[in-house]
Amino acid sequence: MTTEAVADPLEGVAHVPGVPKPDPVIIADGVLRHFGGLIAVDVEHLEIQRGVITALIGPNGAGKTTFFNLLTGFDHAQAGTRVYNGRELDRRYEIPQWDQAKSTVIGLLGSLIGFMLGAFILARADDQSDPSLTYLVTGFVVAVGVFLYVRNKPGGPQSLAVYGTSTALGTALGTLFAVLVSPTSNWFSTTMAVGWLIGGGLGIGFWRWATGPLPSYEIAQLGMVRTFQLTKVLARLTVLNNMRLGAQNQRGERFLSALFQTWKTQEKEITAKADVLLDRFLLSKMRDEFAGTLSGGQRKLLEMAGVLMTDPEVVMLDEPMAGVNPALTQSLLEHVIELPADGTTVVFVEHNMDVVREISDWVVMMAEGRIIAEGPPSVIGQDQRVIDAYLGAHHDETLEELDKTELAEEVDQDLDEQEEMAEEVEDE
Amino acid sequence: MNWSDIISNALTAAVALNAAWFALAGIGLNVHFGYTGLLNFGQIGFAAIGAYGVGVSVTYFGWNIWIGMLVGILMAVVLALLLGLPTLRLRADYLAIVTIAAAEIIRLVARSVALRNFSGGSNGINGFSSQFYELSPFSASESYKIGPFFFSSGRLLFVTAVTWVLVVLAVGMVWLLMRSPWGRVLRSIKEDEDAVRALGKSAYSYKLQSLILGGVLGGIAGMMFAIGTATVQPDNFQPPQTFFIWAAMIIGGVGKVWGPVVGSMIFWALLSLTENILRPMASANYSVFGIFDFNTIMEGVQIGQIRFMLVGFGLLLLMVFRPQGLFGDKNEMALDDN
Ligand SMILES: Nc1ncnc2c1ncn2[C@@H]1O[C@H](COP(=O)(O)OP(=O)(O)OP(=O)(O)O)[C@@H](O)[C@H]1O
Ligand SMILES: [Mg+2]
Repeated sequence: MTTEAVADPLEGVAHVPGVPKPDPVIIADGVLRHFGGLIAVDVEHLEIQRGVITALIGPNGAGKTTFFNLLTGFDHAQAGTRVYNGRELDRRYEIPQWDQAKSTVIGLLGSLIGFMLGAFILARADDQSDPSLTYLVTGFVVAVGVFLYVRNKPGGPQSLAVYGTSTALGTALGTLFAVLVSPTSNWFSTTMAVGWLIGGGLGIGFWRWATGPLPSYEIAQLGMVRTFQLTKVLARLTVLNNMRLGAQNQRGERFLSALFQTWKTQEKEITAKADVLLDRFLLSKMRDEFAGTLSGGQRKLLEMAGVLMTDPEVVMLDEPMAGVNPALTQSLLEHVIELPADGTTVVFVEHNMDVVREISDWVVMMAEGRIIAEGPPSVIGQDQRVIDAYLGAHHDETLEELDKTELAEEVDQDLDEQEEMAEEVEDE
Repeated sequence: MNWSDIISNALTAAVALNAAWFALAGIGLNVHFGYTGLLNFGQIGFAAIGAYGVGVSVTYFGWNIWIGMLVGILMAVVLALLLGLPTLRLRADYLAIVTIAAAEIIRLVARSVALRNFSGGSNGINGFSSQFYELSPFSASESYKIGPFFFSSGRLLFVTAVTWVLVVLAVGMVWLLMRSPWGRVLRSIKEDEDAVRALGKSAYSYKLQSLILGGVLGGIAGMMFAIGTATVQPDNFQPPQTFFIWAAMIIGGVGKVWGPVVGSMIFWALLSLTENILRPMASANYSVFGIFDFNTIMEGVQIGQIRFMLVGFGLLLLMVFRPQGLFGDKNEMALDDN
């Protein structure tokens, strides 16, 4: 829990799935992901409050990891929208919401104009007898083909308009390319076909770029950075280099700066920052070893430290404590608890309810892809559905509460059985 | 042929033009595969496009050779973009398929009858390199013997020396790049693209940069080969060449700056050694236990193939006993991803 003195920003928020939060940093709406017939994630609505620690719990296969993948752009949903920090992640640019008829006309006109522009440039440049009619017809056929191709594409009819105009530009460029490269030679048409292919490719590329979702690395650049359930460290890089890789806006990651060595001072700052974090995560001793030599728990620590190198706004940790030894878990938890102090939001997946109770401000419970409960840990721990769905029948039995004599009897029985078996073997 | 000649020939092969341009192409391949993990099975296609770039620029367009070389480099960039833009988002094997196909397409198109006036058809292109040799300080008609190394003409000595200078420059450049943060990103991509993306770097853009850089080095290698032999022959750019470059890189050590350089020197020295040892045996009626007559199983023409078999066998042994290559780091090799 964050410092008690500060008023709890989530006070007064209702304990119902999908409830709005006062200051959400992530809003997921209608996010649906299925693998064939299996619905992995079906989140109607979820808001994650800024600057607090939110735990995502749920049984194995509930869809927690898949949901993480969807939020961070490592997987793509079949439906739904995600907003991060007020920015839509599913569409780079908002496209005007024209109706079908209007965008069809604009799209078709756009690609036609492109191809005719191409033909016009051709007719001007080409001193052969009369090729422009062929080109016009080809252009028309291609334009109609393009239209038929994008008509039913997902993304709505407005994509068509964007696609049409971008193909138009692309094709015009392609033809220009042909004119420049071989203005009069007799394999002009080959060059132009190549030009059109390139132009069309650029058009499609531009369309997908402009209307498509932000790729995972851009989401990370925006400050939402995640770790993986199956830890990803770069085994053949040293621990220190794993850390340095996390730093953002590195001059030395640009080709020319790398070549002309203008990155040394920045690298020193990055290294200093990495050393501080390595110290905090008790990895200083392994600083110059290959990360592949680390133990499983150490890799978890390194991955999390690497995420902190990016100065994230939202940290998404998929089972950060799995496999970390209990002594280290405690120090790791302390690091996590400190994060909200400077405004960082933490979302983490965890199976250990003690850990969840100890550090989280809010708990979201998933089962079979849906959010089935939300609320502060004290409340969620008591929720009957959570108990049923997640904690199972023996939820309130701890080891100490089990009857000790009963246990002892069980053990005796086991031993007897084993002895008998051993005797049988000897007899034979 | 006596042993001192055999050794001298092998040493000469190790520094000859073939070794030099292989080294350069190998350095490019090493950028692709050794550092970034890109499977480029068409490095010879980059060499071909570089060679044709300069050849066609001079003979067909009549430009001077320096512009021709720029054109060759530019063509290599374009080829890298054409191959990389559509495939680098996909799984690694797509690039492999596309590169191996592209290399053959380039060769077959260039040698086609329809393009005879342009790229010379199956005869290739000649007579474009004289401008380059005007700079040569060595006499064209003389042969040169420097220590154990023998060059049949001053021209050959000159072009070989220039190619080695380029090799050293390329090694220096790759060395600088790979110890920079840029190289760090490449090496990370080789291991795990998703980890790199999760930290906010576009794996796609870096893979493209790597493909261009390595492709340009391959293009320059092909250019130097073409200038050195004063001809661009389509059939010099056949698919096996790509695999010889791979072999050279693996011998030296994948992902090591000097690996492809030393590897290609050894590769060519080995070919020369085996050739020079086998040939006199074939003609001298040796036999083993009176059963195998060398001259019946190895007639002159077959020696070419047999030496490749031996080199292949050597590679096999290397893979068994030193899989990391001569320069590789065994400890690094042992770090399996887990
Ligand atoms: N790539 C995939 N292809 C097919 N099915 C998948 C894929 N990824 C996940 N699933 C399925 O989606 C469901 C949710 O999986 P997910 O990994 O998100 O669960 P989880 O909540 O993270 O579980 P755990 O607690 O075990 O990590 C599972 O039934 C899984 O089998
Ligand atoms: Mg999971």
